[in-house]
Amino acid sequence: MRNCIRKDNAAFIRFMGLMGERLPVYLGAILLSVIGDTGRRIANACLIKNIVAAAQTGSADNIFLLVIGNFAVFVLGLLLWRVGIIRYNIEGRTGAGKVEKLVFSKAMRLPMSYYEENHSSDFMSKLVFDTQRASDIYTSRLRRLLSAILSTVIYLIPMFYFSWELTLCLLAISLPAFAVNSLFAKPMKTAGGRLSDQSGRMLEKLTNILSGMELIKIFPVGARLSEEYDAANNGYFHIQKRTNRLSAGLESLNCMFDLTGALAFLGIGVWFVSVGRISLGELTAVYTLYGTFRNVFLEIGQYFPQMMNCIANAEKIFEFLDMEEEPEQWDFVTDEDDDSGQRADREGVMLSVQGVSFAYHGEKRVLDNFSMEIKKGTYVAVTGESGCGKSTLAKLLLGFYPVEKGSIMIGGRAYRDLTLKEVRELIAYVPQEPYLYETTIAENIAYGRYGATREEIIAAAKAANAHAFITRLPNGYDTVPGERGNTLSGGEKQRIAIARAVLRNAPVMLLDEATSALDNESEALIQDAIRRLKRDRTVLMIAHRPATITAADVVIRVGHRTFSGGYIGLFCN
Amino acid sequence: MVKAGIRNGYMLLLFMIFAFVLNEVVIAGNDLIAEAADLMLSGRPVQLSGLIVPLLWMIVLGTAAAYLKSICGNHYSAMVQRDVRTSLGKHLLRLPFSYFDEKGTGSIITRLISDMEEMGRFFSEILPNFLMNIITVATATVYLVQMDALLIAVLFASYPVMLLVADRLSKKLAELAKKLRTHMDERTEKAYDAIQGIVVGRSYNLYELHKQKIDTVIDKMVVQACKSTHISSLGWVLKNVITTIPVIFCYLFALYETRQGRITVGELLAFTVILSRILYPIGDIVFCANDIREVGVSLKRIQEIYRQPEEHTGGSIRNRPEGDGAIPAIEWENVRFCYDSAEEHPVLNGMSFSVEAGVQTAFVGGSGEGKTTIFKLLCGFYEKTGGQYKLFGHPFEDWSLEAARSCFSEVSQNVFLFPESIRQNVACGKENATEEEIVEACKNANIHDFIMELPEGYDTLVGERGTRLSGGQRQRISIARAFLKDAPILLLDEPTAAVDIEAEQKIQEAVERITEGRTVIIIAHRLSTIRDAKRICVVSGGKIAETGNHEELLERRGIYAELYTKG
Repeated sequence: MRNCIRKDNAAFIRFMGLMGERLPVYLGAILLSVIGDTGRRIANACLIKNIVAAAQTGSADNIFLLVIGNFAVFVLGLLLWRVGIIRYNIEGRTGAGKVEKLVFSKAMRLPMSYYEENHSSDFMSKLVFDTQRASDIYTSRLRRLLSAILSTVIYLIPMFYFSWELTLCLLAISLPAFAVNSLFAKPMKTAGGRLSDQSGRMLEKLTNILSGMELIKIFPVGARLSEEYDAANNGYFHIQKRTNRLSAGLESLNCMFDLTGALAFLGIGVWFVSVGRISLGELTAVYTLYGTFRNVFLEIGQYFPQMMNCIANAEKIFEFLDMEEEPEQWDFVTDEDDDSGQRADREGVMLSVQGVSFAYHGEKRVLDNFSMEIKKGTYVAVTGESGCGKSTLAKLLLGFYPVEKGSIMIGGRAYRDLTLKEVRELIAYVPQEPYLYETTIAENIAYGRYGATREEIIAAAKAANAHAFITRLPNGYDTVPGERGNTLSGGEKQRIAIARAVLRNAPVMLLDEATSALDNESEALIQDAIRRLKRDRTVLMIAHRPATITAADVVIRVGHRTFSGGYIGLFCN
Repeated sequence: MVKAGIRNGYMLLLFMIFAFVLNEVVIAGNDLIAEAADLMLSGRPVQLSGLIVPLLWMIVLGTAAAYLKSICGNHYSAMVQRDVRTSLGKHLLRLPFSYFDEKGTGSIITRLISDMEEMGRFFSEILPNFLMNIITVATATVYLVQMDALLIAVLFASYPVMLLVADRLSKKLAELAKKLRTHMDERTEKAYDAIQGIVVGRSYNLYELHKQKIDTVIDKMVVQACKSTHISSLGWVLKNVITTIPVIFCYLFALYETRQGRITVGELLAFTVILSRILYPIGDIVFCANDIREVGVSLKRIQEIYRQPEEHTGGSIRNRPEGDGAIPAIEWENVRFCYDSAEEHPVLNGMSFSVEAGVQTAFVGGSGEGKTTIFKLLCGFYEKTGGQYKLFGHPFEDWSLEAARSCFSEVSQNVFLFPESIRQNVACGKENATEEEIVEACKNANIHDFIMELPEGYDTLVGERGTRLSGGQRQRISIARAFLKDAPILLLDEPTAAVDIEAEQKIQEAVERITEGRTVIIIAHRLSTIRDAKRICVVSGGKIAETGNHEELLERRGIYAELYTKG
């Protein structure tokens, strides 16, 4: 329990620390808004006091002056509040934006294994939710709690001034109310946690329905998914029902304290007035203030758990932010001596893989002591049976994973001497599943080399045999793929991905089954283009189609079972 | 949504009744205080003991009313939310496929999630608050009218002004809220996009670029949110000033009335207390409009989904004619289709062909010629814009859509798997499939051995580690699914495109097994895979340009021959 609180505190302090030097301004703005708001209410209470006093005594001297004075204070309070709240919102929202930026940029820097092991839509929706809830600390929760605490203190001043005896009595009545509210805090928090868990489950089921729509239309699976969704929905409803009972209990207890307070006020107040300790006007003023005071006092108990919930979300955000990122450069655990002999630059070797072994975390080895060497300007086809590690080889070349043993060199430089960014600058990659971003086709190609001119983009598209079909689209290069009616076929997407790689103009071109969805004609054209590129570039094509393989200068067969201990087969075209 | 709100209306009614009781208790308590004050001021002794019993009763009654009010209000909101979610889920399932195809499921999901949250807020916070305020104001007003009708007239004199101001501001706020929401959607979509394309993003060093794009949207969000604070805080100031001025007049007027002896000092006291109680709700009722407008954006978007017409259920034919092999499985005559309603870019331009039952028919042609569209029309995902489509001799329109679809299984290039266990993914093929049937289907699809090698076998979750299932493995799971469905017509969308030799062999075997005795329609990009097909239709310009078997087509020296020799 205590540990838990300490953790909460640490997360809270760290979260507030994200505001940096704007924090004092932010807190000052909250203070200003509280002063303005309480000032306004106190002015209102004074106004009532003056009116009742005037009615009781029957003298109306100065009453207009007093009323105007009170009203002026009232308006001043409002204006102060506005200045404070605007500044507060600017600082709070900016802070929230800062958190979002941190989180989203972090989401793009994780090691590749994370994306392969986690469903992207899954962790993203959790992330969006947690970030929003954590940002609530900046944009509402902290202010609510602070202003409840500050207002409580501020209201007590005039109340004590009007009648300290009565105020003490009222305070004594409010304390048990506060205690009860605090007691409810924990179960409310647990209930809230259960609600959000169940809500996540419900969303998961809904997402299944939406994303599997094509399947649902053809296969009889809709009924099951619908049932599961309904069950999750009902589960949510039942948790809500239980939570409702809890909150209703709290509300009714508060109502009881409210009415008891009124009773006590009546008893004590009437007695005080009758013995002449306070005037009726003061009594009214204290009671008016007491109403607001009690509200803000109880709000402390109410807002505190809400704040704690948001801090729990902030903790989750920090857990995410603290996760290990993909490093600038892999820290290879190979011993230098082992391959130092081979490190000597060899004339004309573009890619060299020496004795590389690799296994995905906790699984059996995919590559075992694998070696290959590719000369500059060669067109190499890599082939092999399913699961032999062809795609893994591509991932290692791109530095998506660190090799377990062995070394890789590109253009005569070892990977351990290069940053991952540098490695990737040297490779133009076309993945197995071509991904197109939700932006224009032109920009999708331009991602190959950002800042490329339209002419360069078109030239790349022509080389990838994509220009013709792109110009046939209603908006040509400015078409956003995937939008209404602009669905592209697998082959078309692949050609755009190839255009992107062509534009990159990197010394090594790495294609992973990049022409699998193309018809023979398009593939032939692309092979032509690649052959043209080849003069100064090294092309590594992972493929299995005879047509693709036969076009290559060299074929490498990757095998791990047939040839134990790892093997490279080389045979010329 | 409205229906769900009304259906559960009785709960809301109970909520209002208890809210009313609660307010009455408070007002009655106030009356007691006023009487006591008057007694005291007139110099008579106040019998506190006489007050205690009624006050205790009030406490008991008030506490009970508060509990029941809260229960009913929250219960109402929970019930409505549940009903809306249930009916929305059902509705989504019945929407035509084209709706999802056009909008993109990703954007539907992100929007729907935040909109449903807003809907929850409307029913759990905004609506009950609004009603509670109205009841508080109404009961207090009735009480005050009995005391002095003129006072109330003064109080409500300012109301039109406030309505006007609130209306102006809330319109502006709604506009800003809409913009903010659009930015939020954009941010989420951009972030999703960057994460989903991470393989490309990484290998092309696009991090800085994507970060900058997302940051720009977030900055826009911040600016938008600050703008709306300016307006909403101005609204708050105006609201307070506008409500307070008439209240001050009320006080002064009440003071005057007291001096005239029309009301007692005790009544003045009660009046001020009650007035200060309703001061807040009075302003709040009007400004609730802000909240409602803001949420209205989300509610409208949900309504929009509701308004989407559901997919028609089709005609009454549920069974295909038995035993008559002479009827072609599929007949198309002059079928036309285009995605945009303006018919500017027709995809199918008078396509005619027929598919004999039990025969393999392949469609070939360049990419973008509309081969995939043929599949979409066959399954009734889209409706043709012209021509005739007969399924087993009956016009497609006369078929019940569900029954028509039960005639088809599909194995496609892009296999979608649910983030569930492999067993559940295979079981999609048939309702209440038994374990034996599932295993049998997997064996037929050449995937059983692979599944058994996995540590958790059939219970392996596809979503987590399954992203590492290879294209071939995914495809074989989808073939197992098709085995389980056992439909007469099988649609194959280039089944061996994205896989390597060894996997291709396994898939080929599985495909051969599943095609046996079935009507098979293949879409092929590569001609080598379909050389053995009995009939090959060459698609070009939205029509069937040539038909025949491999040899016949080669002899014609037409499009097919050209495609073939180029490969």
